[in-house]
Amino acid sequence: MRKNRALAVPFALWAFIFIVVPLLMIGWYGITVEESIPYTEVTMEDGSTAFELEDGTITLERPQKQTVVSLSNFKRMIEPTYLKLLLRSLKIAVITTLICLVLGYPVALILSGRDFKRPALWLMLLILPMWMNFLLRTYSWMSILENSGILNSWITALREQFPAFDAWLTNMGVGRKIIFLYNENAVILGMVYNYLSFMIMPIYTVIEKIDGSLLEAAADLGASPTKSFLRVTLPYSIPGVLEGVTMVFVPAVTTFVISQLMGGGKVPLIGDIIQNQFGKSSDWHFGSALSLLVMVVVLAFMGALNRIDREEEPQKEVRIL
Amino acid sequence: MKKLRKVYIGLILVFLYAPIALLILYSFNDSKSRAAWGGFTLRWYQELLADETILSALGTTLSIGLLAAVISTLLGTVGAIALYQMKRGPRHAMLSVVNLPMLNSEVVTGVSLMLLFAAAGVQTGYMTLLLAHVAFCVPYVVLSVLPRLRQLDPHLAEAAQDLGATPLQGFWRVILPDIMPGVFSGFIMALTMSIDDFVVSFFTTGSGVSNLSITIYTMAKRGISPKINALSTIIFACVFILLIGINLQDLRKDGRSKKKVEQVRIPY
Amino acid sequence: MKKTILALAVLALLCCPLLALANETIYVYNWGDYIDEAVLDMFTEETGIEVVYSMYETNEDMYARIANGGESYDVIFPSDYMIERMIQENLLQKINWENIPNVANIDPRFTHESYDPNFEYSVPYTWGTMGILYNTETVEEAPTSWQVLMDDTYMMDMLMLNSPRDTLAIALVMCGHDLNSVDPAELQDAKNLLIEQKPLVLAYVVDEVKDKMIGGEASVAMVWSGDATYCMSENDALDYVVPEEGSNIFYDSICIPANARNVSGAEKFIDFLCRADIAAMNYEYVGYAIPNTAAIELLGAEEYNASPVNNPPQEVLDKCEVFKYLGDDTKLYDQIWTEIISEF
Repeated sequence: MRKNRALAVPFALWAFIFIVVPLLMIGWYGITVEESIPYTEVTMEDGSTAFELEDGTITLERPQKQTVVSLSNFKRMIEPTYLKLLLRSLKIAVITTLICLVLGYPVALILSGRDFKRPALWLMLLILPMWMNFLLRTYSWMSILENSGILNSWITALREQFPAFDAWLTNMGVGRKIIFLYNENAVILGMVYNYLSFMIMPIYTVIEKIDGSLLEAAADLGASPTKSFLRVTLPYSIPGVLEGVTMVFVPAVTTFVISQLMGGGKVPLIGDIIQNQFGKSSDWHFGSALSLLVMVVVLAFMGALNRIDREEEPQKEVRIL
Repeated sequence: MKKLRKVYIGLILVFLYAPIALLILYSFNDSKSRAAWGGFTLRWYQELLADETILSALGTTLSIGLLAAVISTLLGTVGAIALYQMKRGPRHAMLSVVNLPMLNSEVVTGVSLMLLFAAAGVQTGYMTLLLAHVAFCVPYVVLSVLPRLRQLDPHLAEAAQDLGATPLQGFWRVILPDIMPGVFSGFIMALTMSIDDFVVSFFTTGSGVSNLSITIYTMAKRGISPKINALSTIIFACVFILLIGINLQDLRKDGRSKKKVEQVRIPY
Repeated sequence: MKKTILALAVLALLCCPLLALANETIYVYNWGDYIDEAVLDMFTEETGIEVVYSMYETNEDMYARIANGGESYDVIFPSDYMIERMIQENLLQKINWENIPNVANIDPRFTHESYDPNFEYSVPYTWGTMGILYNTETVEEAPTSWQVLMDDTYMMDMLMLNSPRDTLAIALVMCGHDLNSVDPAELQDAKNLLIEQKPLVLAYVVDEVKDKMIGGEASVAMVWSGDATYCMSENDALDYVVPEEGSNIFYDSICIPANARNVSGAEKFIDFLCRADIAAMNYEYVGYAIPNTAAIELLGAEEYNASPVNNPPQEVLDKCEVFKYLGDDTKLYDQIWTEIISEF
């Protein structure tokens, strides 16, 4: 193909405006704060109100705010409150990722098994729920787990039916209503539910591609299934695992919806606080600084993963089968 | 052992489907409370179909999804070709830039675009929502087209031009057919991403324009209405039929050979 | 395949609401559940003006969208202190009373309030108090004090509002301070109290409070009076009290933002909302007390005034205070609120 610069220029321009500039904006907001201009209200001779600035100038318009460069956002960001919050977000994301990995890896392994029939069908069944809006999926969990929700109403019904069960539960110190929602575990459940398929798919894609003859050779050479898994399948599946980990970890560390819904505002994550800065607390500058922090954390995490993955050719799986 | 595997997959499926099944069940429940069963009804479906807010949100979601997918497919394909033609150095630099939105979390992407629109003095609404969706979809298209371009024989287009084809003809006749699968999967992916998006939309829409995600978010803030269950049921049924339809052929062809799995078109 | 994509593109264009510009439209931005949505259809039917309706949770959410973002609405419903702030920041425009004849229905008791002393920017829409909604089945003794929100009998059984100004104000009152305090030390007290209270709280909510209280999800909640009226009408076991330490009284009004695009449409809409029958309809749906004399007549003044929520005794009103706009100290509130929600 002959070089055609005419294509590169508009595309580069687009990338600049919609990728680079917005990130620069975050940077700019992060290093600035809004300060109000000090003034006093004065009454003019004709009875109208005017505003006197500190240097003595008088204006008829009420002085509005001005933007000044300052590092105070970053100073505020490293207060223990926010560091603790970041650590908690990371903790929840790590737990979610691990659970997804532990639950998802066997699924990928089983589906890619040589003797597993119709894997395509099963795969489709596994992904189908992902096609529903994730808010809807989360809400359905909420209506199950609420204090007045489905699960509790079933438990109540069971208790009424079987006094022994009721007595046993009461003995265990379980109240009339069991509170499932509004805690960390509920948030983790919501995340695992929403992100599990993100873990299964990349791992499956990689394991499925492992050359069958390799496993046969291992078996011929007398390797036990366990050994051939450890020696062949596991190492070959690492790139898929890494991709899956990324696809679960990044949204998990920054989500603000799942934590709000399942946590009832009691399990704040860094994403919630960022969203809050652009809403109720109306501080775009601090919100931008926190966004920068999140960006750095995520990029550092990806960097670390890439290090592990260095031997592998950095192939980006296109996420479609 | 074999049984055990089936049981395990079964358990995972139960985990994934239980909430959805309950949702579907309760969409036919003739009682506003979720805890009690008040008999079978289709009333929530009727109410849903009469709910203009939901219907217009559905319209916005679909129109934004399709427009964003078409625009980002065009832009992304052009971008991929541009990247393909660049020298190694600039290409790497450019590729890292294009990858940024995919590495960044949605919150950061949403916030950054919101700041961009605010700085540009644009009123948020349908246009900003569309632009934002295009912005986060393009990288996915680029990344699905680029590998196809790499597989091209670099001399093919040149040969076409040597044979008298204009560059444009060369593109239409030679290159495009070859990269079409990548373009198509990029399109589907952009469509999926756009339809499912909440976070970026949340930050970049305004002035009364809201898509399905945002409407569900605001609606459910005021108590989960059974109408939402009805909506989920319909969406689930549509997706189910659609995916079955798309994959039925592949599944039939599937027969005994497993390799066909790769053709199952399920974006995730 | 090209054809498929082309067909989809055409379809997309057909769906595109931008093409539906034919009708005159107004953009209305209101609190959740703050209007009977049938009223919107009636308005469109009568005037031919389409209403694009969207909702916010709190004054602060609305302010953030209007002040910083490039969003333009024609009609908004801010509360007292927010009106004061928005007037100061040139975000509202003066209303031309000639185009709103139905303003005559508004009780003059509710006009010329401190936040709009010359009655230029705002049309009173509803008013109410902040108080405690409790479930008489699980709360044995009717609470009289805000301290019930610190009572560990109701551990994981109470709901708090996720609204910076309201929740901080209640905490300030509980600490014995003025609810408009800007003293950093006093705000620190309020913050510490709310953080200390966290383990007792089931969830922080705004509009969800109604659904949850009606469904028996929690026993005690801090709510606005109108939401209480609504909940009590849905669930007989619920009751509402304005605690003895005092509380907030608020006035929500209808305003036109400075950057409104369809001012004449907005005026028609405001006039429509002030009409007696419409205001009465809204009252019945929303549950908040209304300043509309004609509508109260229509509803039957006796019945309307019999409700202690609509017509609180003077000694309750005496203890209630309006929020003032706190100027630059608002920033202090914002920061403290962020710190409160970040704690766990």
